[in-house]
Amino acid sequence: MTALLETRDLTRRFGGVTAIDNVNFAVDHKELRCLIGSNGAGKSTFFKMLTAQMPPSTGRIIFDNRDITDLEPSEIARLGIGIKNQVPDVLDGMSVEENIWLAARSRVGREGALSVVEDTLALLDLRVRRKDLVGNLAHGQRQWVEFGMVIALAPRLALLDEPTAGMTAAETIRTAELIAELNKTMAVIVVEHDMQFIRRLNAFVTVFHQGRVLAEGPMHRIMENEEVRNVYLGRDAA
Amino acid sequence: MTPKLSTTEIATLIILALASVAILAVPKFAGLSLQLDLSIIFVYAILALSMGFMWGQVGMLSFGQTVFFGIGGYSYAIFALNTGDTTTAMLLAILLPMLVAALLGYFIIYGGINDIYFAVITMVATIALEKAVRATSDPRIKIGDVRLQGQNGIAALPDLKVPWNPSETLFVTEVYYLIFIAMLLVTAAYALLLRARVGRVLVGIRENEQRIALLGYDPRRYKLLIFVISGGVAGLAGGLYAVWGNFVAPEMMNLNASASVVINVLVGGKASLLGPLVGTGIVQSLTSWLGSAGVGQVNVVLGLILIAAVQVFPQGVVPMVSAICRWGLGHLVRLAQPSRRASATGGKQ
Ligand SMILES: Nc1ncnc2c1ncn2[C@@H]1O[C@H](COP(=O)(O)OP(=O)(O)OP(=O)(O)O)[C@@H](O)[C@H]1O
Ligand SMILES: [Mg+2]
Repeated sequence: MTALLETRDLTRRFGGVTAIDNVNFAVDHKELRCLIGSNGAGKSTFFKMLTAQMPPSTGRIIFDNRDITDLEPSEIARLGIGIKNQVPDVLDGMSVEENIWLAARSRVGREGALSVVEDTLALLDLRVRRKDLVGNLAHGQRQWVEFGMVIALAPRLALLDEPTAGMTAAETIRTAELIAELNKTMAVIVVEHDMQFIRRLNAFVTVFHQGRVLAEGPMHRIMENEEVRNVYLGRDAA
Repeated sequence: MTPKLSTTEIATLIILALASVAILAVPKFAGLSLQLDLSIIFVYAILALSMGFMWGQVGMLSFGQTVFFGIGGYSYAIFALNTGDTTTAMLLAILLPMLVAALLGYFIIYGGINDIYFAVITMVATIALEKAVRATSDPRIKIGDVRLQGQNGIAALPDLKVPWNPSETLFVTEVYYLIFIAMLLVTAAYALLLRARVGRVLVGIRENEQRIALLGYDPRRYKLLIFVISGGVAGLAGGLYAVWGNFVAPEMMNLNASASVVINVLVGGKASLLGPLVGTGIVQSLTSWLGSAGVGQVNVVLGLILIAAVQVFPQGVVPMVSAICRWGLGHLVRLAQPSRRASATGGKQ
């Protein structure tokens, strides 16, 4: 079987900076993948290109055997890629349930959407907050609303850019459980800095460094990789 | 998703119902001149709503909404004079502006032109059309048998005929009712639209267009849709204007006219549907009062009042008043509570 998502020589330049440099990357159906790398490694830029929030300078993106490089963000969402951006990217002036309803309603009918909203609110423990404006929630909870939108969208590939940023320890553990739950039905790529969290996910890891793929492998192998330790882990572990 | 009415919606309905009773009763007590004055306010209110909905709910600033108002008015005028069929003329007053909105909107929205230019381009469109119509004073310029007559406008338009009985025409009072009911229906239609999925997506676009796209909705389609619908509503207002005064002129589309739509919306507030209606009522009444009070520089005085108004209620009159009402109600409830508590404990003893 071919990969669910594949990039071919994907490159993005910002003036003189090459944020993503000829990246060839593949993720399988229902795979769980962690994407790590130091600040500025290009992780968010990579996600933005996958979802057409930003056009690549060169290279192609193939999703489910289809070239999606030139599609609109809405078309890519309809094909089955959902994203939680690094900076909370929600509808602040609308209620929690409306945010999630809009995600659900984009793929299912009126009745179905209501039940998806109920399930999602229950899963995220947001039922008591359902009528609150998302703009009035704490940072961690706004992240969860966005996470909820991805869940309600039920994509085939979920991209989660730093899902635990600003969360309490308990919320972080819960997020790991939710990701495992999501991964039963979809492929997930998680960008994270929290090493403990990544260990908990127990996933295949790709390391980005200065826009390139520095290493790939299971977490314990990555930890042993001399080069990775030097450029990334070493500094973090200190 | 929200089958229950919110407090704001209930308050809006009550206000509209009370206003409707009063307005429907006006012809019983007041003469034709008041009916005419109110009718034109309703016409401008429809126009303001078509602009205010896009601005307040979707975040699209259509500064030159009068271009559709003008096209609507001229469509009615030219077709009605040519054929005598006022029903079709009124339909065209809605449909032709929608067509123009579709073309203009497609060019702006799918051309990837950003929000500020959206305001600029719609404004340029209305001024350009106004100038173009002004340049048609040559008596040889005709559409069918109708001379456009440049800046003089087209006068002596036929009265609206009853669609199922064309030998009967509508007189001032009937036109008054018609325009008022049109205003109510347009408001209701916008309110229903807002509750439907389309409306929720449009509000979502105002909140965060990129996020809406990432949820699988193409924002361009929705923006084009509301631009076309609102173009039709503005066109309807233009057709009703032509019926009201039996007259159309390029002034319907000039910069003054387009700015006054924006001002009406600003004064009332763009966040609610009631805002543009109330704002139009206030500003238009003020304008005619200043005119009749013999104030020389109506525009200057009006301008000063507007600046003051925007300073005092930056969100518009309607949100201000509703905040005061809520505050007042809160106090009433609190005042009422001690007695309730007293009677409750009294009951126990
Ligand atoms: N819009 C932009 N304009 C110019 N440069 C940009 C832009 N976005 C990202 N960059 C640059 O591209 C590089 C990669 O940034 P990116 O945000 O993708 O990194 P990241 O791996 O997500 O980092 P972090 O862990 O801090 O989120 C950085 O050098 C950044 O400064
Ligand atoms: Mg990042």
